[in-house]
Amino acid sequence: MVMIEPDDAGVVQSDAHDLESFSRMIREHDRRLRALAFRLLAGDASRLDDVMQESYINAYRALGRFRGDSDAGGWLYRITYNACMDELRRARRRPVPLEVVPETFDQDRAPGPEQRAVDRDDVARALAALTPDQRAVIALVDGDGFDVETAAGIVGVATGTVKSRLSRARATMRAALGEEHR
Amino acid sequence: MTPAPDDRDPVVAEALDRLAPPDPSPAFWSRLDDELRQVAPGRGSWRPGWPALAAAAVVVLAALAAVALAGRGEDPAPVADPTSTTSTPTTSTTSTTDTTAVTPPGEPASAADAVLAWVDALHAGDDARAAALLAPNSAQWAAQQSGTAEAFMIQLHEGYGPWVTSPDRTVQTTTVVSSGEGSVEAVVLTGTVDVEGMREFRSSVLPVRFFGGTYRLEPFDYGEQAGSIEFVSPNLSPEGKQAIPRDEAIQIVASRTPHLTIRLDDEEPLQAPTDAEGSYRFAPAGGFSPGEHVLLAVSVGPDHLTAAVIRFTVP
Repeated sequence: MVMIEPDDAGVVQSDAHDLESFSRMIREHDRRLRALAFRLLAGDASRLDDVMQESYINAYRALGRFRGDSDAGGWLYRITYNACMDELRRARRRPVPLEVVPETFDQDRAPGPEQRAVDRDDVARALAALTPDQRAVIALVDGDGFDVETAAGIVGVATGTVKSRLSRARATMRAALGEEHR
Repeated sequence: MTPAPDDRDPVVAEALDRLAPPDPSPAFWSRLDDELRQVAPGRGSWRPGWPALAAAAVVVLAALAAVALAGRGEDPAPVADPTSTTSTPTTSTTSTTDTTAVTPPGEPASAADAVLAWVDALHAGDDARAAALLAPNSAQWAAQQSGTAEAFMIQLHEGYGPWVTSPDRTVQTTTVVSSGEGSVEAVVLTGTVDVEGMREFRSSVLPVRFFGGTYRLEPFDYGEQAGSIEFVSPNLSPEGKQAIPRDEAIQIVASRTPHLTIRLDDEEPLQAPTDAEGSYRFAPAGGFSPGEHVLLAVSVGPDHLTAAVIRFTVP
């Protein structure tokens, strides 16, 4: 992990502003951040790269305000989450294009070509049935394995709110996924 | 960041695992590097929180009120364009505020004026003015999201700009905290707005601090831990006119705040204690009266100022 250290006053040191260091840091976290964004976008790959670009540019601009004693991954998670929610607000009148679910897939988990295609569509459709707020807590807790408190910190709501959203989202997801995932 | 596998729902987790994200496009990293070279990295300094101030404020109510009024940041900056005024189509203002302090020329004369000036600025795309109307804590938070507070204002055009052209907009101000030094107020906008050709009934609440002779909006003062206020049951949203039974109890969740200020319509605000989970169930004696209602909830403390509003009907 690339560490970003603050000075005694809590100000991030100038070497952390170096583009090369920043690039290393985001490459290290990119896979998990990309997974979060992909789930928040309900499997819409057509917007994924643009949202990730926006996230990283926002992070670079805000680097001087990063709390150096905080976890860089958590900070990047929050910025990525905000960028995704901004994108979803901008596009909230647009239908979710389920047909753009990507061609790439985690081969290690794939049970077979036919089942694989059905599963991807099912999962994307189930995510699209959730509100963006519900999608966020599902992605963080069930997707990334964060505890409720950490998810609440990233999303910026109370833990009770995360729990209630999680409960509704799981019920909706299970219903939308249907028999093949029981 | 603490992974907690036990918190995962196995069915949902397995499904999400099947939706692996695609790899970046071949040009992704080179395009990003090009973009980043054009961007100056943020140089703002992070300031420590206010634990000592918070602790003192919890003990002494007067100190709590003073901190809540002032926020954690510096004095508000002057508004960039003092000649700009608000447009108020068919606006009625209901106010419980009795603040008579003199405001500098060109400054908003009330919390409602500040909010209307802000939505005017967003509607006009005047991001500099909109950012200048933010209190320091909210300006700092906005800058953390987009590099500068002004840049973040762009993302608010769609959400708040349509209030300017609402044909039936009403504005209600509720004083949450008040003292000789100033006040914390919550301004609720209610009415019909057109967003991208679609008409919505909507309510929005915008907290405002009056301190040092100026009114500044504080919509993003979430604090380190406070989070936002949520109406979690029944499943309502600020948009639309959802119906609930007259004997329904509305559950409000706020975090780490001992009490909420709650106001139903034009009734007197009340102070409501929350339980250990930060939850409060609001149910008026005798149930809700038939008709449309707007319910406001505000939480203010030494490290945060958050508010939420819900609109619903009772058959």
